[in-house]
Amino acid sequence: MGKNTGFLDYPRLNKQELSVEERIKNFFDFHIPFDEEKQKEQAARCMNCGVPFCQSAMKVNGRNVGCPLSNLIPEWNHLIYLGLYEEAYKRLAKTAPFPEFTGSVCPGLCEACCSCSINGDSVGVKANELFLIDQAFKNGWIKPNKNIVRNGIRVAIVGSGPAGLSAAKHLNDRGYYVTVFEKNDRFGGLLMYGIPNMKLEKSIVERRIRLLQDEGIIFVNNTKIGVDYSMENLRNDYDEIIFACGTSKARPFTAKGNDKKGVYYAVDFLTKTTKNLLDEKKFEINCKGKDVVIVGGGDTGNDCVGTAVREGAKSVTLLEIMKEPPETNTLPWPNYPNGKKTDYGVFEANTVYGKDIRRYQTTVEEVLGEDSVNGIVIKRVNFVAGKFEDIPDTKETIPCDLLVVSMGFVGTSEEDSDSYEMKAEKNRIQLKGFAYDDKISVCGDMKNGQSLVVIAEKDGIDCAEYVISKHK
Amino acid sequence: MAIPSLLVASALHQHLTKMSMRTHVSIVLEAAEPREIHHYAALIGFGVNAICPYLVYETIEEYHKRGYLKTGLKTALKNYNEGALKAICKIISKMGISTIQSYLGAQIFECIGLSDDVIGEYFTNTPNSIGGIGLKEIEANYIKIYEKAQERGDDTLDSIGLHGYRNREQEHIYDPLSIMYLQSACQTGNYDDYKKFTERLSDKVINIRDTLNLEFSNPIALDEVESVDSIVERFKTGAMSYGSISKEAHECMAIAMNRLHAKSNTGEGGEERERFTLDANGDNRSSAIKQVASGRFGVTIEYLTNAKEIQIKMAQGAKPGEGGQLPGSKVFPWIAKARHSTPGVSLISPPPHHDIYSIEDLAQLIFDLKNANREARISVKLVAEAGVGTIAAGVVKTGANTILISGYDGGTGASPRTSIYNAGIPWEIGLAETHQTLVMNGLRDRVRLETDGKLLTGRDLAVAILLGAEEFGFATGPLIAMGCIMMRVCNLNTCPVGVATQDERLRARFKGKPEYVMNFMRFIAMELREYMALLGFRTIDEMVGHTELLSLKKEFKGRIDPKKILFNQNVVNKDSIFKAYKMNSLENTIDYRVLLPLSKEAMNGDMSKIIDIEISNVNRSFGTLLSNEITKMYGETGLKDDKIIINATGNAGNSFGAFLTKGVSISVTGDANDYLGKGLSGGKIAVMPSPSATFDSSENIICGNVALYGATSGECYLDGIAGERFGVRNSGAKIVSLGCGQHGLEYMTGGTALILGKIGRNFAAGMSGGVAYVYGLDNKAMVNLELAKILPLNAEDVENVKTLMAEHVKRTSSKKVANLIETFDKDDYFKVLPNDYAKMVSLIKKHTANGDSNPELAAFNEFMEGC
Repeated sequence: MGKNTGFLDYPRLNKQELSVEERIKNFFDFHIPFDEEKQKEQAARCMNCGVPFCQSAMKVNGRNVGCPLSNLIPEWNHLIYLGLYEEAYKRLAKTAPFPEFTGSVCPGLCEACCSCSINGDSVGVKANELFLIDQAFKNGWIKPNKNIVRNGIRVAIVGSGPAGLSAAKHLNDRGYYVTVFEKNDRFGGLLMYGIPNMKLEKSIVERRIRLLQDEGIIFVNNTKIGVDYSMENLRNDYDEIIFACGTSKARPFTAKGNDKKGVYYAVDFLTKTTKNLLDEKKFEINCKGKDVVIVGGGDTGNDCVGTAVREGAKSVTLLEIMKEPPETNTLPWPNYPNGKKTDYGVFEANTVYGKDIRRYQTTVEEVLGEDSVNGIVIKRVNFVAGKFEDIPDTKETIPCDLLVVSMGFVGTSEEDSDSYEMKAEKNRIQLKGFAYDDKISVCGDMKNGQSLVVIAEKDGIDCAEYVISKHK
Repeated sequence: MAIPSLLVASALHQHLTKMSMRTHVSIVLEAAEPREIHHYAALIGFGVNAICPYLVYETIEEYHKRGYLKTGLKTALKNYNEGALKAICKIISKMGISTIQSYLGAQIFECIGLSDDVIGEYFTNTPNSIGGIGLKEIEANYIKIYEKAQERGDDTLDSIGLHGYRNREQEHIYDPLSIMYLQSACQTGNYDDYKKFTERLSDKVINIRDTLNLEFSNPIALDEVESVDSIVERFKTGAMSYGSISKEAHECMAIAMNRLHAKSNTGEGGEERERFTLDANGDNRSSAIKQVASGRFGVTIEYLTNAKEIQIKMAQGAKPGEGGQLPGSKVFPWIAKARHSTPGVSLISPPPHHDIYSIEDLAQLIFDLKNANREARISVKLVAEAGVGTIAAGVVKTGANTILISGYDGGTGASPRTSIYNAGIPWEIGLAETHQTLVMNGLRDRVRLETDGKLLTGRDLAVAILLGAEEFGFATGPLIAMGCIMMRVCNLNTCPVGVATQDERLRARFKGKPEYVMNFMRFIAMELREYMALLGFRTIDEMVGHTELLSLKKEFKGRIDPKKILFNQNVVNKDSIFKAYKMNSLENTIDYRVLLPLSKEAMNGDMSKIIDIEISNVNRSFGTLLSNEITKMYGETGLKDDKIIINATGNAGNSFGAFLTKGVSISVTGDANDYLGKGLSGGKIAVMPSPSATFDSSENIICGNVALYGATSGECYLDGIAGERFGVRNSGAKIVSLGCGQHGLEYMTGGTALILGKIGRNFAAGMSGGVAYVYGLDNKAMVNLELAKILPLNAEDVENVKTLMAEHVKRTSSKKVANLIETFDKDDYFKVLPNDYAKMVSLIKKHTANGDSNPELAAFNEFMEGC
């Protein structure tokens, strides 16, 4: 706002990026931040709507519209324009627990329903958010609060992904003793291992973890509840337990030959890659020189493409089972746009291989090869009345040395629910709101099914509030 | 826990008053709580002599420390105090009070939401309509706020979403979901989406109607209820001026409402005359309701002639006591043209109508308007407030056909915030009081009652009807249908959807269609029918005033008490609704009996006509009905100059020559009463004393007060002194007199005035256009120089003055003026020229000389850049 006609005077700018050629040489973030003046202009594009849709947290036709955290977007945009960055950051921090995560990885529900986009381009909210959190860290406005008055209530949080971390922060800020258990060696859950480094640099996740540790949260790694730490002990040792373990069971890949070597689930592929990267070791699953096929065209599929490109795959093909989306959005504002979008990984692959690597309405019929995969048979399908039907005579064999399955998740695996001694039905833990029982609450993807980082964060906060309400 | 400052201050004031000791002391309040202008006004109004809002000062100090301020601390504090003072004075002035002394403890407030006990004890005698919370609840609220403050981890304040919506904070009728459903419904024609919208609203408790239950014990079948088509004919759009909203939006609503046989409202900004002609496809862009507000912008005889209903706006729901305001940035050349004003210059309507100071004055205005258009209904817009019933009873007696009771939550995004939040009361209260008063006084059958204020659902209408309404106004609803997303920047000209803007770049974004507005109207009617069926009524007429079908919902028992609104069940009788419009009986006017028959030939053919006639002061609105008839035939163009000449002798009644059209020249030898030449629309008027008079005409009053109020074109020559408020809101007429009383040419926006004698105080106050010439340099002291400056006459001015004087002598045979011509010395005269107007005129000249294709727009753009 600041400037009444900002939205007319300044066009929306997207951050500059390093060239594809340059950026695929490594796994670093490839965005170039705006200079300050440009950033202010971008903030001035915000119209400070009387009824801001950007922070409305609605469900429209089954989709999330507007920021689930209800970030006070118009307010901090205005303050950025005025150059009051610290004040702006404080207003951002009122609702957003980890702007450095959402600023990088959020699909930007706020921008999708920005009123500016009724006629033209939305405000660059995410860039503004990232700018603020960068300023905050750079200028030392974020200091660990060491003066928290403790209330003596002990909370265990299982899982250190976005939901667990935001619940932990919320409770810790309000005086609870919080211990976070993580089954992996590094903390952050999918933030650490599910999202590749170029999209969210791991030093950023680690910076936040250190900050939370400094504020008194105890982090315990390599500890799987029910295996390394019994449920009985957990129940005895803590007053409250929050499970935020995400969705551990991937949607099963059932094509014939699915057990061959060289077939991986995306989460394993990405986890190993990031782990190897951080440990400065050779990639265990290496795409170099291989024909890589990725099944599933969602955000994770795109991340796998970006990873394969960086590892030097010979070719990359992305199979998407749904129909090709319309070239541009056909839904009226403020619906979440349905137009075709080309995310960074696909863009890189398209550039490197000189063609669109996506194949729509296509899935795997059979995995070929002796021991390891050396090709796949694909087929085209139609989605009719909730079911996929094969389109006859569309079978085709394509080369494939490495198959990555990125078809999403169905919920908590049987193994996990057994470990946690929790009742589940169809991979969903049986809950009443957040409550599993008197002591155990569940939040994030584990409660809602797979979703966005920002939704996990919001759910973590809400779950923490629920826990607090029990102790009022 | 501190006691709320208003409560403690008022309690002390009341106590001291009861002890007869109040005048022994002054009450000084030192508190952290007061911070808004309304707080200060309320504190003073309830008896506080002085306030030290220390938290405000400390906050400013903190701002200073943090480097937010451009000024030093002392200046900042001074600026705040001065700003607050100005704002308080503004509020006080809206109530017609001039001094703080008179406002102090005057208690001119109404309360909504406090219990009678609290009011009785601590705010004694404050009108209180619906009861409400007591001390316990007040305390609980304060504790809640206090506890919330204690929880805070940082030094930021929460956003409570009072003005701009914030998710999960203060409830607003329009939130993202409700806007989305309503737009989707109107744009796709999907009634299910409209139902989702009303369902969304039904979850909210915002208005009094939300606390009321409807009694559905005697339902009838839906198909027995009167049709959607017949219901929508009672629908109107709110008065939103052309200027406040774009041409596209304004015309879209007009077309939609005309297609439905409903009525759109011009608002107070006039209407472009092209719209009085039907479009090729049969659409009608002429608003059925033509509003007459205090500014009288574009109120010409042609405008009035093209009305189906003429609405006199006495006040505006969202900002009672204030006139409309159009910021200069929205006064584009085309808007200025429709309003007869200067582009780029803010237009502030005077709070009162200068021709209405009493109920008799209103009766006169209604009579004028009836003469100006015999077929139109006359509606009077009032605002819900305590005592509105009494006012309405008076209005009925003045001859109004419709009374609109406007609620506080209808309002413009451009209203001042203190007004949006703190002025006006809900229509439920005002409507109920009006209906009850009129029924009890046997006046109800003479008028139709209309109400407005966020009427959005069939249920809203059902409640309104049961409380007494027969017609309904909608404003934000149709705006949302046309694409408004409640940006709340109506005052900034930056509406991003092209609704409330004049910026051509933004107007190009307007996506509204008449069908959307029609869908909105039909949907409400459809839902109303469902409620009518449930309530058991076939027609709206038989449903009016049945308050016995309303009761307080259980969950609000003990929290509010609507008994005053629902009172009166036994006065529902056959006379409790409007019966039929009576044609305006104007057969006894001179215009009808004499002027029309005698002018017929001249009106129809090439012949001119000279009529000599004697008149007296019972002959009011002389020439108006004749002008209406001529306008019906020829529109604004009227007749050739001086085609009909009427020479009257005697003592002219009120509104002599009101809305007189082009080609009609009337003179009276004798004198004239008030409102001479009101709304003059191209005609010519002359008034001179009888040749046999022995007095010096230059020292005697020749006509009454408020002559030429709202004149838009034409000429007027007065061979004598005019009364007070001469030429107020003149926007195009040439007027000459031998002197004038106080407040001459106030709010003038165009035209030329020549005053050849003494002028009264406050001359040219608020004048933003046109030019005035004054004889006698000693008059300079009387000029209000806030917006205008005094200049000597240049060669062009001398020419203008001489021409006007010559015409004056020709029309009035004035000896005095003939003498002035003979002895003419330009240094005896001075010119009064509004600053901005002068700038604009010279800019337009410059751009015309440059050969700009649209010099006016180029000048406007350059002018706005300099602002």
